[in-house]
Amino acid sequence: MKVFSVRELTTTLTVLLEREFPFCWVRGQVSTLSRPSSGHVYFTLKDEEAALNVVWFKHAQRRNEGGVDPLTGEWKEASGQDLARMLETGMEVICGGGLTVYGPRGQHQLVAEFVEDVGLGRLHLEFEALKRRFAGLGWFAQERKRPLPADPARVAVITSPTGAALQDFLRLAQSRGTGARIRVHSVLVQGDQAPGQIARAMQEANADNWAQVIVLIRGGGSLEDLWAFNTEAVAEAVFQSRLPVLAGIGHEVDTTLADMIADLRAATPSHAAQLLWPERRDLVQGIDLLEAALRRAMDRTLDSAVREFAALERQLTLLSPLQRLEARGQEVAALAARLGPAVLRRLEAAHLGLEAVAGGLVQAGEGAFTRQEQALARVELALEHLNPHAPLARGYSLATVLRTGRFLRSIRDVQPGDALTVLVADGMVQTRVESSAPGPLGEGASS
Amino acid sequence: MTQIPPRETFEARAARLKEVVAALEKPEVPLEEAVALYKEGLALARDCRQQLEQARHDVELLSRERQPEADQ
Repeated sequence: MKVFSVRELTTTLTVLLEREFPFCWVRGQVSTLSRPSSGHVYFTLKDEEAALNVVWFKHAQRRNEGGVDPLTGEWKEASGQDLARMLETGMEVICGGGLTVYGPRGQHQLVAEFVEDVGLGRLHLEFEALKRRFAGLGWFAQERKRPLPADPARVAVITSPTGAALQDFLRLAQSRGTGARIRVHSVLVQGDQAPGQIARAMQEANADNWAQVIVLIRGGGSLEDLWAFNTEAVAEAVFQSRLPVLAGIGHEVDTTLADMIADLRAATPSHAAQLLWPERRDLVQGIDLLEAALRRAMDRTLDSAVREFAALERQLTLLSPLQRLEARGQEVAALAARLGPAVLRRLEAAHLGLEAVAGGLVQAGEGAFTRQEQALARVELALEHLNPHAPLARGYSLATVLRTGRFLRSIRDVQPGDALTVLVADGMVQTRVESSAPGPLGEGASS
Repeated sequence: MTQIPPRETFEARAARLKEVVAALEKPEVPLEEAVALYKEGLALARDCRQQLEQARHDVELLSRERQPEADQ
């Protein structure tokens, strides 16, 4: 017979328990609740007959803290921590987790993964079951989501006419869109009649075929308050809607099955209005931008037209006869401008040459004059010498043959008997040639 | 009920304004046509803005007991 040590038996029990109860749900009333500063929560689950120690570790409290729901592809908000805070003695809860043995005290205990309020827990379970079912039917499929019309003009709103949801929606709508017609289908959004009314309103809006989009909104509330939007009647009506559906049910953290099936999900009723219509000032800005583009385009067009005209004008003036004349004139002027200095240079050169010539002339002239004067003086002197009367004073005499009227220069000029007039310094002598004979002076000598 | 809501024409006008701008932005548009487009575009922009200034939603409440065919 085997005798266990305490440790051995405890270890064996632990192995057995953990193998047999890796996960189980257990229901009971919370007692001896303790919340040490570690953040873990310890309590005892009790019913009339028995008690079970439960430890709810901090990390397990955060287990449901947000994340993508694999069934719907939607973001799930955390909820575990709220309950961990709200948990109180006497509360009826359902705990899910694995059994283990706490060795030092030899006690088995439940390590809780989930702790939920019983009523809420039931709804959660139902919610999860419906979600699985609708997911199986393909109602959450992203492929069937339709786009909403941009800036819709006709909107059917299904909600309570007295609820804050409608007021929020209409208040946000005021500064948006270009003026739509909003038809409110009044329904109860809570209670037993709500699912039927909502589903019927969905069908009516589709049958009317007036709206471009159906908006399904409701203010925030508990899971029970919002339950109508998880019912199969509403879920199916949303799924079957021919018109696109925008759902904005509850607060940001609330998610209903109707939200998940709708074509677009708004976080809140106000958000639904934001998703539906563009901000009016954005529309104004859009128009402003278009007008600015229009003005720029016109400016460009005008600029290019002006440039074109200027080019045409240039061409035209180039072709005009006046312009051609002017162009010739300018050519001439340019040539003249070039010619002027050349001519001037030539003239200057010529002038210089002329001056030189003139100078030469003057000099030459003066030289010539001097020479003439001198020549004249010489001629005068010679003439002086040639005065026939001058030698008479010195004893010479001048004889003229009367018969010939010529000066007697040679013996051949006279014959005997010729009358001679002999001119002497103080008068004349009339004489006759008796004879002539060659003189000692010989040939050429004169008398 | 058959009256066209003003925003329908807003949308049409805004779309036309876009067309006008696109047409005017083409480089080969003749001057006369450009001036016409420009005038039209300015008028459209003015009308669009005016419509936005005056835009109001028209809210109609259907009673819970209504007959679907009674409305239209």
